Amino acid sequence: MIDQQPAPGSVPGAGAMTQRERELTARIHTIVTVDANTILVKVLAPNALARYMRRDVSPGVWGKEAPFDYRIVGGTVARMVDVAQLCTPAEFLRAFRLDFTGSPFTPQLPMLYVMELATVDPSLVVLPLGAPAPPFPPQGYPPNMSDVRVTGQRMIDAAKSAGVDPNSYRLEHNPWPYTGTGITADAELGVPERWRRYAPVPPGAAIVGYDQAGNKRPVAIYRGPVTGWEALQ
Amino acid sequence: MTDRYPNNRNWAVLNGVTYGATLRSVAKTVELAHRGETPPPDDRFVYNERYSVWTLQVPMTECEQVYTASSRAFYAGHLCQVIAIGTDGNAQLYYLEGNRGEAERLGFEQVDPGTHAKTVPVRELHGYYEERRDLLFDGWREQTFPRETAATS
Amino acid sequence: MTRVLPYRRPRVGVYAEIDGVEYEADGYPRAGSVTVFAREDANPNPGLLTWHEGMRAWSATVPIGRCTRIAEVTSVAGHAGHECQVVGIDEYGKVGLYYLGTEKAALPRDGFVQVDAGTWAKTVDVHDLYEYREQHRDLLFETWWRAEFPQPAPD
Repeated sequence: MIDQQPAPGSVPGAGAMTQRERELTARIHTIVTVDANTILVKVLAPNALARYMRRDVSPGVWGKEAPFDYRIVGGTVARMVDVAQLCTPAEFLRAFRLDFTGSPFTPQLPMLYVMELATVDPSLVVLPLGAPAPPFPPQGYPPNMSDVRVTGQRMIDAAKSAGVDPNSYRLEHNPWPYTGTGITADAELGVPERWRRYAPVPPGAAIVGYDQAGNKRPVAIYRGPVTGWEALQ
Repeated sequence: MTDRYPNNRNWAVLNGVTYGATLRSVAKTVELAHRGETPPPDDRFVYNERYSVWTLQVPMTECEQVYTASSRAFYAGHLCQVIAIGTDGNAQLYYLEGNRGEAERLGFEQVDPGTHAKTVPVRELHGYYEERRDLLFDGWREQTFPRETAATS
Repeated sequence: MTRVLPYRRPRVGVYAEIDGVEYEADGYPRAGSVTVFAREDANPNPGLLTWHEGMRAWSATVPIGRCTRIAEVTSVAGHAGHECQVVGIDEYGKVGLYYLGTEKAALPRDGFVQVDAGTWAKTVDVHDLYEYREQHRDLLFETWWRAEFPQPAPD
């Protein structure tokens, strides 16, 4: 199963598939495409809303507070149409696999904040394909790195074979729960993912909140780098 | 060759105006160039009639910016430098990634050691951008954030 | 006219060049236009800009054809062998970095921390950067080549 914890030494995700399964998965990405008008969503870290609202620009403090710039957004995103069924913080956490090591997210968050933004330019986002790799040791590579590389290349081969636009994806080796297939690692709620460069937020982007009861409410709208984020309601 | 794209040369910004630049690295100066008969705003420029160019040499630190521009784009998913764009709409590329086998599979030909080139229609380029290497950064960093030196006893 | 502004590092945003002068834009071009602004005390170009009370800045919305250049600018540098975006440099020389590369599995070893889905970050000293540069994504390039090299109509 795509979402099971990897056995030591194994390559999960794309590594647990046959080549035929990789090709079928890659074919999804010829249908799940992004154009200038596609609305994307980005799940925000719990303290990000306050930092966006106060127009924070900061290099951060190592180990305590992340670098931040209220004018940009990036990282893992998904198409809004692919996450329309998600309603609660717990569902978003599962769909985006926000249970990574050191994650600031918990299913009990009273409110989960999500940014909704237009793509504007499809070259701002890439489809990460490849294979999950264990965190590198202090020196050298993990023992199974050759298997990771072979799996990653096979996933790329599957994408080529399926006719996925080569300018839309790139080969990545990231820690689990990254799958390398372009679909997040939840058997039921997994969604096609993209990675957006840390580029300016387009004016008109909105931050919305999802509460534990599954209610969605608008929170803020972006007016541009001069005015910043405007609170709603 | 088209004039507007690509951009693979040195530039400097002096008092808000961008000029073509030639670096004099040893002296840490830059020679600025402005083409045409109309003089640039800075009256220190000297006109060279033979080459129809105004020139001025200044310390690099007098400029707001000094940078090396390099034009890049993706072709079939691979990063390339855009060397030229002809009036026929074809772009000459140098492959920038490390996979020589992949370059040759894509039809790039080795033109000298370490350089694989191909000419493709400009419409096949994706994500065109300029890389601007900030040539004042190191000096700005040393001046703004001097490293603490160990006290000697 | 010229406009002299101090050059600040790092830069991020959309910038447009009009009549040889660079202005920051409030975002990507929309519906064939781009809105530029200037925050100086005095209007740097009364022929172009007017006071926008909502933005509290001098501003103009122009057709993109009026611009010789529109670019999305980000600042990048290398740190410990990793390509990163520079997110803030403070007065103490502390620099925020977001990883831009494709080998995130290497990052825990090198002190990067995952802060949200897909984002690995680190705060370092400015002296631990190399090859600082800006990346200018040219937002007019496609418009230019489509106009310069139109495709012939099919027979």
